[in-house]
Amino acid sequence: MMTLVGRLLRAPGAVARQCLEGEGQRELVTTSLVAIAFGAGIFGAVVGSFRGDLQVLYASLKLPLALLATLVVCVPGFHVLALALDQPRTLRATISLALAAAGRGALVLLALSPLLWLAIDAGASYHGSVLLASACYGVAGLAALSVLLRGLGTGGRRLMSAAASIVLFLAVSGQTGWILRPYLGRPAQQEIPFLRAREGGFADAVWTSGRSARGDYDEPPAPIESTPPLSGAVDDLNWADRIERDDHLKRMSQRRAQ
Amino acid sequence: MSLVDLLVLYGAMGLACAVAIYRRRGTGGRGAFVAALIAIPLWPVWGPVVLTSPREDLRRRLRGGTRAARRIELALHEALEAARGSQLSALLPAEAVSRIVSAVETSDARRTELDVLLARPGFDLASARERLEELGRGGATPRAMATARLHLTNVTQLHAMRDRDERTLVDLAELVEALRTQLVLARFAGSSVEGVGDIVTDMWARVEGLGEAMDEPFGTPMDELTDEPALSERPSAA
Repeated sequence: MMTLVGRLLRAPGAVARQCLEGEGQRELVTTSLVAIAFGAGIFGAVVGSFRGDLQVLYASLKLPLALLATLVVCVPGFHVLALALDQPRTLRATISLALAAAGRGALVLLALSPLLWLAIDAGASYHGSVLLASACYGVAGLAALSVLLRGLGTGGRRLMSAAASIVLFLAVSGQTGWILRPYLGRPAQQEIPFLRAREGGFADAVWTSGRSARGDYDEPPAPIESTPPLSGAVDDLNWADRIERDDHLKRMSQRRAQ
Repeated sequence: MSLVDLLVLYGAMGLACAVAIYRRRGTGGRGAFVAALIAIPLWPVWGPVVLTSPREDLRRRLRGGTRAARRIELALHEALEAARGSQLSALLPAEAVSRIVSAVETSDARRTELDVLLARPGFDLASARERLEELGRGGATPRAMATARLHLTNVTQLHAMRDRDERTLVDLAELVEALRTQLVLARFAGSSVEGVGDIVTDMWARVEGLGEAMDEPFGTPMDELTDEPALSERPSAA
């Protein structure tokens, strides 16, 4: 298994060929599943260490779960996309390729875990930790993509197939990740829930955030005069919520001044 | 259907898949139990890998090649029927059809044989490459490296031969089908046979290509793969 792990990291081209040629696919799939469970699990534990306590356990379970659930939903779609884009291969090959790519990504996440841990331990802020974790995910995604692209062969339709697969993966992983929140957990929270209460979907959140970024809110904010002081005195809000609220109030003041 | 219903259905499918995997592993044991257990949550990705085997790929390839050979044979006979009794029959005589069918059958049989051979573990391309890389990293002797390189070259050439045979058969099938429709059109519309002549020429080139692939010499002499002088060229010990 360690040989295959080394191969996943060092030789993405050889791994992609192995996925397509059929020999040793089962061993590769098993190794990839172990890599996903272990790599994403450790990274999840580090992400959960921002809040500590039970969040470490929850996040270490939820990150691999989110990745595997995404693959379970996406793999049939990947296979149909490959067939539709004139890249015939067996379902076994598609599964092996998707899992090997995800396995490589999870191993890169594992490698980046100490970096995130160090940042959190050094007192990185909530949003800073989120950004750093997202950057780690981005790097892992690129590592996974290198296996996927090599497995899609050559020709003009390779990029189309890759783009379609990425769009599908991002949409499904976004929603899966959204359902399984929270991962970091906020320090001010008294209780640590395994799952946060449902608040719409991932697409709704992206849409709402986009509108909020433009200063467009559904609910009118409370009058500026009646709001409590901007710092220190709002006991029921944690600091991250306070920052969001402060930003919001500043934007509203600017709009009124105009 | 609620999320709970969906999860129950998913779990039921997982259980069915787990039972199938456990029963398929006739000897049972711990390995079968673990494989079945993994299938319950992950059956969409684990089931197809465990319940099918690489032999499926081989069977699929065999079916693909044989299908092309059958397409060629069928289209040739239909083309022959379309040309019979007309001036077009000179373009495609019955003897020529027999010759093409015979060449296609020979090529298809060879491709089938190669497919079966290349499905064996010793002919795996990825393993051969990995072995060469391992030897390179481990500082193996030039002779050992040359042997591994020779093995890789041979396996690569065998795979290339198989792929080329398969491509040629598929290309030929397309051409022969185009020839058939052209002949049918020419017969019923009374059109010119100029286009037919081009296709026939192209088709013969492909058939000749099938023959050339079988006659072509393959293989690299061992001495070309190593920096060491050949045994016959080495200075004898005085």
